[in-house]
Amino acid sequence: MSVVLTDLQEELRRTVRGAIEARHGAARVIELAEAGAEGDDADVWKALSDIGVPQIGTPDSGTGLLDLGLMVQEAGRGLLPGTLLGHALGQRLLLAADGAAGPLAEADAAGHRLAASWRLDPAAVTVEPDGVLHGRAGAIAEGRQADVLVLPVTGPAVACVDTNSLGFSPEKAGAIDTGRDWTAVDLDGIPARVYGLEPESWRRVLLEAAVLLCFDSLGSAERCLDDAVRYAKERRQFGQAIGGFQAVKHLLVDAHVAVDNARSATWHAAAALDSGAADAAFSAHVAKAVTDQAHVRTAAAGIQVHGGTGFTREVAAHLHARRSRYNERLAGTPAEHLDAMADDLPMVLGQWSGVPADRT
Amino acid sequence: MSSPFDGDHARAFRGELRQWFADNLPAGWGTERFAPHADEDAEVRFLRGWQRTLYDGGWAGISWPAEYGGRGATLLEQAVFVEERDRVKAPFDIGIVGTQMVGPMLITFGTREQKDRYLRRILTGADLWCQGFSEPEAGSDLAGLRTRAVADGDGWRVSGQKVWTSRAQHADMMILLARTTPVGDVPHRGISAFAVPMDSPGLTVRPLRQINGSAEFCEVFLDEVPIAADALIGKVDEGWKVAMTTLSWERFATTRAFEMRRLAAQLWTALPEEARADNAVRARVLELLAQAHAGGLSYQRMVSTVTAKGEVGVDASAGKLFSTELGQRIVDLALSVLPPPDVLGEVRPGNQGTTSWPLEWVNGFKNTIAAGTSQVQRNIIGERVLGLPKGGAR
Repeated sequence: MSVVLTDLQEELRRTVRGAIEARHGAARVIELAEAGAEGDDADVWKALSDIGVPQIGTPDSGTGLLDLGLMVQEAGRGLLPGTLLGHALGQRLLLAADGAAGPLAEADAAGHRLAASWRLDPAAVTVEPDGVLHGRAGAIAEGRQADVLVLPVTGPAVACVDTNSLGFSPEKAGAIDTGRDWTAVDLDGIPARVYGLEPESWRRVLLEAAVLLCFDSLGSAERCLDDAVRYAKERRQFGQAIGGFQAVKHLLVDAHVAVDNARSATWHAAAALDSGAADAAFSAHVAKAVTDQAHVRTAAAGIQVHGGTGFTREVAAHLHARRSRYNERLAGTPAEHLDAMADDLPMVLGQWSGVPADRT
Repeated sequence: MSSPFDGDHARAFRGELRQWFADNLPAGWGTERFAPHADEDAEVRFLRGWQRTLYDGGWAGISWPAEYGGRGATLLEQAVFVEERDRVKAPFDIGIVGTQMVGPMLITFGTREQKDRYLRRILTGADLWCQGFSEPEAGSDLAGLRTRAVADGDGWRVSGQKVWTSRAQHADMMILLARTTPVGDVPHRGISAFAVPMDSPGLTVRPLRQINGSAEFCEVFLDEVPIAADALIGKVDEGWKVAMTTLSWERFATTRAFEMRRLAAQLWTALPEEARADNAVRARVLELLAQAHAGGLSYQRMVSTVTAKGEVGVDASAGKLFSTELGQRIVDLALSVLPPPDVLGEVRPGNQGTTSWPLEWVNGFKNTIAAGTSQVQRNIIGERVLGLPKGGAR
C-alpha cells in the first residue's frame, strides 16, 4: 500500500501545523525548555480541540490510525509535549478493549484529555478482586495535564483511572527528552474502570503504539532536516553558503533519503493496519526499525550542520536529538522489532523473489 | 487515502503479468537446467529473441502510446512491470536503450519518417541501439563533450570519441550527442542529437574488458563519419533538451528497488541455519530486509503520487541512490557470511536467472557509477529537491 494523502488530509495537516506553529513555534519551544516548563501546552491543546483533533482516529469520526498518526506527526514536528501522543495511545487502547467505545465517546464529548503509559507491560499492574489496582505504571507523558490515565493491566485488560487522585513523580529515564514530562505513578489501592482485552487486540495495540511513535519521530526528523537545510542555505563561510559544500550537502541528502523512506514505511504501516492488510504486522515492525534509525541519524546531522550553534541551546536541534534517543526505546526497540519481523518473513519473501537462492 | 497499487486494476495487471512470465520464461529458467551461454554472441542472440518474445506478448515498450506499438501503460503499470520482472530476474532487457530512451525521444522529437523507420524495429529487437553520450573528458559533466559535427553539404561529418557505450559492438544504431556549435557561455547549448548507423564508414568500436568479465562497455571512435540530414533528432543545437528527456527516463526506468528486495530475500533464504542463529548476522540481514522493504515502498509511493497528482519530480534520483547503495550492503554481507564456495568463487555469470554472488558483488560497483554516480545523484537531490546552492570553485 503506497499512501498518497487526500486533499482533505493535506488541508487538515496544514491547519494543524499552523495552529501549532502559532502557539508553539521555534522560539516558544526554546523558551519553555529553558524555563523547565515541561508539559505546558494548555493553549495548544485548546486550539487542537477546537479543530477536533482529539476525536480523529475513532470509527465514529470516519477516520483511522493513519489520520490520527498524521496529527501526531504534526505534534512531533512542533516538538509538542506528550499530550497528543499520550491521548492517541489512550484512544487506541480503549478502541481495542471490550465495551470501552461508549466511555471513550463520552470522554471525547466531555473534552477529556487521555494520558497513557508507554511502558506497554500488562504484568506491571494487577487488578485486585475488589477492583482496585496494584502496581506502578511508568513512561507517562504529561499525565498531570490529562483527565484520565489509560493503561494495560494484567489479563490483559485496559484500566482507566481519573488522574486527580494520582501522584505523578518524575522518572529518571525520560529526563533526557527535555520538553516532555515523563512520569511514573503509584497505583496501589486506586480504583479503576477495567475493560477486557482479547489477546489479538492486545497484539494489535502494540503495533499501533509502535506506529504512533513512528509518526512522532517522523515529524521531529522532518523538522530538524528542514531546520538544518535552511541553516545551510543561510550560513556563509569561505564566501558561500555552507550548503554549497558537498560534504554538507551530501550529509543532508543522506538524511533526506532516510527520512523519506521512514515516511513511506510509517504511512504504509498505518494504512495497512487500518485496512487489515496481510503485511500489517510486518510493516509496523519495519516502520519502527527504519524510522528510529532515520530519526537518530537526522537529529545528529541537524546538530552537526549547525556547527557550534548546534551545540548551544539557542536552537532546537538538541531537543530533536534528545527525543530521538528516548523514542527509540519506547514501544519496542529497533532490534526487538527486527527480530519480530522475522516471524512474518515467509509471507513476504515469495512476493519479493520468484527465484530460488543459488548456492553454486 | 488512495493506494493505486492495491486497486483492482493493479492486482489484475500484476496477475496477468505474473502468469505471462510463468508461461514465457525459457524452460528451466532460474534452475540448474538453464546453463550459461557459450559466448557473448550466443547471449546476444538469446536476448534479442527474448526482446521478440516480449514484443509478441505485448510487453515491449509498454509505456509507448498504442499508435506506436506500445500499450500506453500508465506509470503504475510500468512500476508493476518492473516489480514482476525483477521478482523473477527475467532475462536482461537488451533493447532497453531503444525502448526506454530512444523510443520516447523519437516519439517526442522525431519526424514522422524517423518514427516509421525506427520505432517498430526497436520494439521487435531488430535494431539494438547504443548510447553515444559520455566521452573521456565528459563523464558526469556531460555538457563538456567535445565530439564535433561539422556541416557538410546537407548533412554533417562527425569526429570524436565516445566511451562507456554499452554493447556498442552488438548495436545496429547509436543515439549520438555531438557539438554543432562551439562552447559558448552556456555549455548546454550547441549540442545536437543524431541517429547514427553503426556500420557508418569511419566508425570503429573497441570493446573494453570489464571487471565483471564481460565486454559491455566500448570505446567508439568517430573519424569524419558522414551523417545524413535526416539523422538529426529535434532541432540543431537543441540536443541537450532531447538528451535530458532520455536521461530522466533512464533514472526512472532503472530503479533497482525491487532487485534489491529480491537480493535481500535471497540472502535471507541462503543463510545457513547456524548463520541465522548467530544474532549478530541475523540482525544485520534483518536490517537490510527492513531497508529493502522501505525502499520499495518509497518507489511505490513516488509512482502513486505521480499517478494521483501528476507531479513529476526528480525524486527518482533518491530511489536510484538508495537502492544501488543498499544493494552493495546486501551483497557485501552475503560475501561475509554465506559459505565461501558460494560467494568467493569465480566472478562470472551463474546459470541464467539465478544469482551469482561474486558477480553481483562486482556489478554492485557499476550500479553506483552508471546512470549518474552516487556523488552526482547527491548533488542533484541536494540542489533540486532540498534547494541547496551549487558549490563554488573552492
